[in-house]
Amino acid sequence: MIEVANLRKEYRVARHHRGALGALRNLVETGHDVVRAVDGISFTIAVGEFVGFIGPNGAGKSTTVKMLTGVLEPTAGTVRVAGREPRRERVAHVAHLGVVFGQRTQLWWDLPVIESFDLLRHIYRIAEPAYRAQRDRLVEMLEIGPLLDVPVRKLSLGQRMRCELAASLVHAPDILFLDEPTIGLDVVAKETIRTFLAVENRERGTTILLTTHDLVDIERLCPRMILIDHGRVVYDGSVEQIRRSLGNERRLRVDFDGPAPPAVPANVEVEERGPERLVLRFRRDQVPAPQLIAWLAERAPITDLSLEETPIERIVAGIYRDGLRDGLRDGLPPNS
Amino acid sequence: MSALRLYLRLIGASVRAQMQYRASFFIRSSVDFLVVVADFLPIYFLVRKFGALEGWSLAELALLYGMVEVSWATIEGGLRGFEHFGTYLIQGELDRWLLRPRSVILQIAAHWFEIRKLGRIAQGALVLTIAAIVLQLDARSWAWVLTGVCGGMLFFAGVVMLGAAAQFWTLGETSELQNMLTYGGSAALSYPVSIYAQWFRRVLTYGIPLAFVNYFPALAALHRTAVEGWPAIMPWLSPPVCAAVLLVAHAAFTRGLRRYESTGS
Amino acid sequence: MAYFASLRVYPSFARCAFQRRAAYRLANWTGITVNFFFFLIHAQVFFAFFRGRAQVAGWRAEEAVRYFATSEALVMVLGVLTAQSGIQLAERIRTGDVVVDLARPVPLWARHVAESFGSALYYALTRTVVLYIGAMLVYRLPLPHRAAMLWAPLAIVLGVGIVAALMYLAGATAYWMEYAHGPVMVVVLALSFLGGVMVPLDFYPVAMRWVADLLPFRGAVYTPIAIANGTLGGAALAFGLAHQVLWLGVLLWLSHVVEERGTRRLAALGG
Repeated sequence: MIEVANLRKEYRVARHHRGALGALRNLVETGHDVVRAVDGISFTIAVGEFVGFIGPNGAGKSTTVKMLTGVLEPTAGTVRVAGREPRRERVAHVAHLGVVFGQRTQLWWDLPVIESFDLLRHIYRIAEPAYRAQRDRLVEMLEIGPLLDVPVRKLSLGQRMRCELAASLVHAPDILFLDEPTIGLDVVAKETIRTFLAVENRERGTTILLTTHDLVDIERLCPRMILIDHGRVVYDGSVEQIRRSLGNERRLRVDFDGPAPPAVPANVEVEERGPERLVLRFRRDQVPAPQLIAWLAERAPITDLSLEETPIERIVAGIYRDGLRDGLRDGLPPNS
Repeated sequence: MSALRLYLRLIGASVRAQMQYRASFFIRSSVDFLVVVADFLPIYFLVRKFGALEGWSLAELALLYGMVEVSWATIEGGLRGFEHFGTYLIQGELDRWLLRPRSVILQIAAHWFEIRKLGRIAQGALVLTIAAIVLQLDARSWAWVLTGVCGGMLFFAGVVMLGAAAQFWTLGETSELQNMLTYGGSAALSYPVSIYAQWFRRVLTYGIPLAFVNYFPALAALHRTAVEGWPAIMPWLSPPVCAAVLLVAHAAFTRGLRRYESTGS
Repeated sequence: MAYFASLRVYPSFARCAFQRRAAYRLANWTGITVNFFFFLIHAQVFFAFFRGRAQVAGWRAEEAVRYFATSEALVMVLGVLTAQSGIQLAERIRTGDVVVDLARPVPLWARHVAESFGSALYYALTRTVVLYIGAMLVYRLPLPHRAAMLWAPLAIVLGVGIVAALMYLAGATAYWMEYAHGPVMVVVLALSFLGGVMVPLDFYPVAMRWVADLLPFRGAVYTPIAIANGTLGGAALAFGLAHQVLWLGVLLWLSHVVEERGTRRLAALGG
C-alpha cells in the first residue's frame, strides 16, 4: 500500500545575521544552509496495517507525512501509495486519503457540523446514497448524532475531535493519516477515539498511520511502530519486540517478614534497601524472575512482592536521549 | 461546470457563516455603501469647483468610477481568499487544500466571500447606472460598459492572484504592492487616463495595463476613442489584455505552488 | 490618579509598537512605493484640473500638489486610511482577550494612544522624509515659506492623538456590538471624506466645509497637513489648533468614560 525507498528531503534555510549590521547584510547576502530533514528513509506498509509513527520533535515525522500525502516533493527517493506517486497524481491520490491534524480543524468553524459533512461530500464528489450510508455509520459509531446541528466553534475539544474523525472518513478513504488525534483530550475522550480507530482498522481494513507523542495510543492500537530520529528510521518493528529487547530491564520489589537478605545473586542490582524491603533491578535475559524470587524466598520469608516492566515511555525516552545504540547491546538488529 | 457549482456552494457556506451573527449582517453589508461618499463625492466637488476635467463631464467621470468600482469590488468580495493568502500560507491552511482532490486555486477563491463588499458593489452599480442614464447610452454603448466591467473583473482577479503568488516568495511582506494595483489602480482609474503625463499614461497602457480595465471600453461607449487620439482597435483589445493578465497570474501562482511543494515554506 | 502613577510605562508601550513595525523591512519599502503611487495620481489629477486656470478657491496648482506631497508623507504617521488598530481592539474585546489588558494598572485607552505614537514615530522616521523629498523633487515644487509652518509638529502630534482616540472609540463599540468593524469603517471613511484626504477641504461646497469644520475629523487630517503645507496662517491657524486641542480633550475624555462603562458591562456579562 505504502512503499517508501531512500526518501530524502532537504530544505534550504536562509542564513540570517543578527544585529543592525546583520540586518543590512541580510538585504544583500543570500546565504543558505542546507538542512536535511529526512535522510534516507525506507519502509513498506501493507494494506490494513495500523502503524505508529513516532519520534521526537523535529525528527522529520511531519516532513515524511507531508511527502506521503503529496503536499511536499521529495528531494530524492521514491514514494508510492497504492501504486500512485503522491506529488505527480495529487488529485487522484488524495481522493483516497483521510487526514486529521489534531491541532487544526478541517470543519467550517461557524457552521453546524452537518454542513461540513455536506460540503465535503461535494468536494469529494460522493454519490448521495454512498455518502448517506457512510455518514450514518460514522455518526452512530462516534456518537455524534446530537452534535450535528451545533456550530463547530461551540463544541468541546473531545466532541470536535470525534467530528474531525468523521469528516476525514466521509469519503471512505483507504488510508488514514492521523497527526496527534488525542492531543489535549481527557482520558474518556481518548478512549472513545482509540476504540473507534481500532474498529475502523479491523472492520473496514483501513490502513492507518498514526503520529503521536502519546505512547499509550501506540501501545493500545499499533502492532507495529516506526521510530524516526534525525531523519532516519531507528526502529521499525513490533511494539512487543522493542519492549522485549529494550525494555529488558525489570524491577522487583520484595517485602520480607524479618530482615532482608544481605546479599543478592550476580547480575542483580540493589536499587533500594530497607530493613525489611529490597527493590532490585535486573535484566530479563540474564535473570529469570521465578528463579530470583525462589532464591530470595529461600533466604527470608516473603510477605509481598511486585514485578514491574519498563513502561514504553521510558524505553522511547531512552532512545530519544541516547539513540538506539545503547539499547542495541541486547542484540536488537538495527533497522529491523 | 462542477467547479463553478462547488465555488458557489463553498461561497454559500462562507456567507451562511457570516450570517450566524445576525445583527451584524445588515451593518456589515451596508457600511461599504458609504464609500460612495468618501470616494465619489470629492470628485463631484472638484468638478463643481473647476467645471470639467479636460473635456470630461461629471457623468462621464462617474461612468469611469462606476465601472472600476463594480469590477474591483466584485473581485475583492468574491475572491477574498487570494488577498488573505499570505496569512493562510503562514497558518498552514494551504496544506489542507492540497489534501483535497480539487483545484487549489478553486478552493482559495471559494474560501471567503466578503459580504461587506456587497455595499461597495451596490454603490458602484448605482453611480454607474445613473451616469449611463444621464449620458443616454444606447445598447451598443451599454455593451461596451459591460465588456469593460467583465474585463476589469478578469484583470483584478489576475492582480489578486499575482499578489497571492508573490506570497510564496515573500510571505506576506509584499501585500502592500498589491494594494497599489488594486486600491491605487482603482483610484487612478476614477479619472480618464488621458489626463496623466505621457510616461504615466504609457505605464498604465503598456506596463500595468490598467487603462484596459475601464478607460478604453468607456471611450468606445462614449464614442471618444478618436477624440482622445487612440487607434480604434484599443477598446477591442480590452478583453484579451485583461484575460492575458489573468493567465500570467495563473502561471505565476502555479509556479509558486510548485515552489511551495519543493520547499515547504 | 492611578493613570499617572506610572507614567514611565507609556514610552515603553510606544517603543514596543515602534519595534513591531520595524520588524518588517521589506514592507516599509513597498509601503513607500504605494504612497508615492498615490501621490503621483493626486498630483496629476490636480495639475489636470488646474490646467488653464491660475487660481481656484484661493489655491494655485503647486500648492495643491504640495498638499498631497505632505499628505502622502504624513498619512501613515497620522494613521488614517487604515482600520487596523480599531479592528484589533474590537477583536480583543470580542474574543475576551481584552481582560488581560484591563487587568493591568494602566487604562487601555491611554495605552492605545501611546502605541499610536510609537508607530507614528516609526513612520515619521522611515517614510515622511523620503516621501516628502521624493514628491517635492519630482515636480520641483517650491518649499512652503510661512512662519506658521513651525506649528506643524504640534499639529501633527495633536492629529495623531485625535486619530488614536477616534479609533479607540470605534473599536470600543465592540463592548456593546457584535460587529465593531462597522463603526471602525465609518470612522475610516469619515477621516477620509471629512478630513480631506482626497481633496483639500477648501474645494468643498460651503455647507459641506462648514460641517467638516465642526467635526473632529479635520483636526486629524486637514489641519496638520494644511499647516505643514503653509496654507493656514493667522486666524485660520489659531482656529485649526484650538479646534484640535478642544476635540482631542473631548475625545480622550470620551475614551475614558467609554472604557469605564464598557468594563462595567464586561463584568456584568461575566466575560
